[in-house]
Amino acid sequence: MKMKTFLAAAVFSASVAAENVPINGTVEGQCVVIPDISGVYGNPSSDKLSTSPIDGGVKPSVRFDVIIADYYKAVITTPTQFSAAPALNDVVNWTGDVLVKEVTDPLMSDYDTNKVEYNDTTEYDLTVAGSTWFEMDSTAEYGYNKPFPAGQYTAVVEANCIAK
Amino acid sequence: MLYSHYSYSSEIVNGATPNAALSGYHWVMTNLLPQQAGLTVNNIFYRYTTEKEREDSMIVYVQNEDTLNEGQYIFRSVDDWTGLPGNTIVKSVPLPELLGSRFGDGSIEVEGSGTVSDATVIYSYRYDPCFNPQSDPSCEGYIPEIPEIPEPEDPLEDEYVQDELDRKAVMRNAEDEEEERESVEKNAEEVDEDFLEARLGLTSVITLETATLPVSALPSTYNLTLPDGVLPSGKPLKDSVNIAQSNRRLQFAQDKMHLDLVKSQYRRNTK
Repeated sequence: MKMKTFLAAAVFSASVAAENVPINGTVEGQCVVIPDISGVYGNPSSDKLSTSPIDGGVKPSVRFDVIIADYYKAVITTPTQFSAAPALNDVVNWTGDVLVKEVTDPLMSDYDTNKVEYNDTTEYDLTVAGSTWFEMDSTAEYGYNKPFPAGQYTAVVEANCIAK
Repeated sequence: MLYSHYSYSSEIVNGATPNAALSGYHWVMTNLLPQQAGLTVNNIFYRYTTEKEREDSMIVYVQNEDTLNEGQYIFRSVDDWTGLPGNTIVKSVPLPELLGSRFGDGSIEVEGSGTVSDATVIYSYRYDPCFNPQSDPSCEGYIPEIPEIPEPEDPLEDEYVQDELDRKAVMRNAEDEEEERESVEKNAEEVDEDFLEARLGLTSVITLETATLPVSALPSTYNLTLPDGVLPSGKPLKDSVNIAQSNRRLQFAQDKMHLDLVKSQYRRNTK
């Protein structure tokens, strides 16, 4: 009996091997960005495209869902160029704005107070868990009193949720 | 967010009310929720916009009274806008399947300065149409109702029948009494007749009863012979003793009465 045990141990020790044991884990997204409303450019004048309802446009909006508070930033950049448009041979002047449209907690209404703006980008510190709807405004003016060429125009708002 | 008005998942019905705050910030739930037994409210969605100065204090309540506890609320969401700029708030509040019957009047109330506009309040509910299986014959567990069969009336309990029966019973008693009386009289006559016949030798049959009667009970004149064999008419026979004072005659009457009673009792028992 002892002999068998020894042999077995010898055989075992003779066959040394290395194995990698995986450790799997999943991190669920704690911040989700969901397009809410697609914008539409209105054409109040030949040289202007605007999402403002006064100009016949529709403001796009996006929703940020944050599961845990104070871990993420909403970074939203309004368009600075068309992603699709007829050939343009003059400069387009872009302006944009971002505002908190709807909140799930009254404290979120203060986001606009504390937002940081640079170039065409707006950053919001998402300090409260919940959903926040952001509404964007975009205006494009072509050259100097120059009409936009006829055609389809498309621009993109970039919305990112970035960990702080 | 999408709200389908009605959708069926197996037998459970899921639905949502129209905007409760459409025509004012006070509403009656019985006008909104279907009157279904076992209905539960599982979510409340609301949205409203506040207009206020940042520095003002403002608290907004979206609430429903509790029908079971007066002065309390079955649902109450509090939004404190104090020191904050106005904005639009959107909330979806899940509820732990609260019974719809507990939802009393609903309202949006503002405490402090500021106004609320463009309010929307929608209740999501669910119910089982077969919560009470008797509500629909197609429900599992439905028991067909057995029509109530009226209890048959006892004709004997009828007033007129009862009167008639009472009347017949009274008549029968009277007839029985009469019959008994006649029977007693007849038997008495028969006994007297038999007894006398036996004593007079008209019959050789003497019953046990008559045999027990004392011979001396007969008037003594029955044993006397006429001297000439002719009974003179108009000449009354005189008793040797005063009959009214005769103890033997009295005893005979008592015996006869006793005999009649015994016989009548016997007949009654053998009937």
